[in-house]
Amino acid sequence: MKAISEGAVESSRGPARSARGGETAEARFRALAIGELDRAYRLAGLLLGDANEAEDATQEALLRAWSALSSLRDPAGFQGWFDRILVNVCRDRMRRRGRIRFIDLEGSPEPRATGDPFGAFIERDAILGAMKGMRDECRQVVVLHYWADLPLNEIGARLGLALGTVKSRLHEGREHMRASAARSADGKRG
Amino acid sequence: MDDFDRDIRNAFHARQLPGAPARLLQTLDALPARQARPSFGGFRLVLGLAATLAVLLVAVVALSGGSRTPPPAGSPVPSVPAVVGPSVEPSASVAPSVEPSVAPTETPVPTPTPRPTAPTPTPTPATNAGPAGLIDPEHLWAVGDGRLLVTADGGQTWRDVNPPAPAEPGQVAHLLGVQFIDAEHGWVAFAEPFKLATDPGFGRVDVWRTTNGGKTWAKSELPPARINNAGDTLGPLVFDFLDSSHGFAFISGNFAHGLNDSDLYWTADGGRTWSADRPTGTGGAGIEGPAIAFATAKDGVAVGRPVGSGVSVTHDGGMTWKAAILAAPAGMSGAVRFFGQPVFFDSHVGLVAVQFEGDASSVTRIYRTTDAGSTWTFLSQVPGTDTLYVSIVDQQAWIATDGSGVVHTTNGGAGWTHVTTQAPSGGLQAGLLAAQFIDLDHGWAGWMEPQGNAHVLVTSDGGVTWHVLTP
Repeated sequence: MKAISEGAVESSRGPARSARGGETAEARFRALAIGELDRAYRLAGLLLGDANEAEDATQEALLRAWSALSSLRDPAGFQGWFDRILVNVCRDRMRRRGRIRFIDLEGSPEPRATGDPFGAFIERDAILGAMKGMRDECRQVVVLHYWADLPLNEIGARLGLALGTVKSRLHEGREHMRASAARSADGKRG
Repeated sequence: MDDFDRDIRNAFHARQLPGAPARLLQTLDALPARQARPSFGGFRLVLGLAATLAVLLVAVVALSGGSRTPPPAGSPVPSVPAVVGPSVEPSASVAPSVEPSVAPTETPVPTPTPRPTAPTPTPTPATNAGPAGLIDPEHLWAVGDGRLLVTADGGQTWRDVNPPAPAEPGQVAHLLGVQFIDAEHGWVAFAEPFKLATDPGFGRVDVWRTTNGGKTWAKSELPPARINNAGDTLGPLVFDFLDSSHGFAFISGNFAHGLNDSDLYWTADGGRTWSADRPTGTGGAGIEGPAIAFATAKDGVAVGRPVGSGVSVTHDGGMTWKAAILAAPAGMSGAVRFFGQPVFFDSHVGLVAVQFEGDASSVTRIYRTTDAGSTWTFLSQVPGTDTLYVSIVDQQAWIATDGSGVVHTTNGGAGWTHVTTQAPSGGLQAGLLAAQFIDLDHGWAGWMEPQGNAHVLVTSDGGVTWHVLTP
């Protein structure tokens, strides 16, 4: 396994050129990243619940990944490596925005009209709407497990968590969604 | 997998989510040049981006002895006494020009805005706790439902001291940042409301200041920013006041516009007038936050730059910047860096916590500078791999929180002590949104309970027990 930029002569004047047949690190990074772009943007959108923030976060993660490219040992692991950077960016943005907004599901049974595709996707579903009030840590695990279809050990590897922690966060998130769905069903019956 | 698991999975996959916007492809088409390999230490310094505590620039620096250095005597920027008492301030004509050499882009005319002194005996309970700050064990500020609240009795009673910031009907004003350097002197920044880019308020930032703990406020407006402000993506804004007169306001880069665009303003009169937006650079040459810390009016750092060491340093008050030196741990030269809030203790010495997120592990380390931020050397590694927030209490005492408790050192990292936390309602685990200690006993934390409500917690025993405040 070689780091993508291994052997590269890095220069602030231009792209790094690797020892692999003249292919630039920039070109290889671009090829890897393009394949993940839609998925990354959607993952960020589900984590942040906002298309604009998702776009910013994905761009930020791309730039971080580009700068940290030498830490990627195996190009085949790009998705997992980039996931971790992206999730950390999203986590950081949640902290940085310093404010928390919740939708009172019990008080507003009718989903709110919203122009944001991710907000609408989340809010219009009785189960997914529970993510609005879910702890960020649980939300990350829930999205990676149920949306990205990752097994728990893989989630642990991507988030730097022990398997037990992943399980407990998934359990908490799942129960949160179950309770929300039950409340929603009760509301409709009532 | 039971039926509910299938329901969740089906809900996630019921509809196709939108694909990546074109701007992200453009990002790949115009990747910035990567950092050249430096000659020191053998490490290629890599990117960083500030992480925690950035919008929470509370009184740690002020409480560390107030030893940071405002402009020296003879500075062309004389200190102006802070406003005391009346909320109606003198006209701008009595305020000296902040920077004679820099033409201000706008003549700030402080807007007298009296606010009746109306302590609210029973403040409105807030369900949405936002950022908070511990000024001393009795005085806290906190944001609840977008409004600024203060307490002078450790959280038993609260006053709504929100400045009369403009807001659209039915919406609270968009609060960008808060700093109190003591129980009396504070600053709050709001984005002016707007609906269209052609509205007068578009991209405008108002700074409200108080010299009496929020009884009265006066407003000034930051000169136009160079970044492309865009509503909710504006900010966050952090203040870094050296004393009641001298301070900076820093608006983090707006990635909607471009990499590293950020805005820095300086005041020498307590916020009556502000300098023009200082040249923090733009694009790949710009600096990034969100955390800044100044040792003096000239010497300071911004941490979180997504390229290089992650630390930018200035020695001329933000007029020019260069990359600082901060080496990664062995084997983690490519790790992503998350920064805590840097703290300066005098005109040269400061500390900062840095979390390195590698592809297989995470470590958090404390670094020290003795040259006002130009070079940072490793001091100690925080035990554990899930550190979330580090508070620099003084040069020897640091406290770190993670998902399960608190560790602290009183001897500069030579030894660490783990504190078992007895948190309310089932634990503090991973519900932490923010945490900061002002000494080894007193701290606060933002905490989200499993039900999803955010609260402010305080501790007065070093993190052993935490109590929920509901401002």
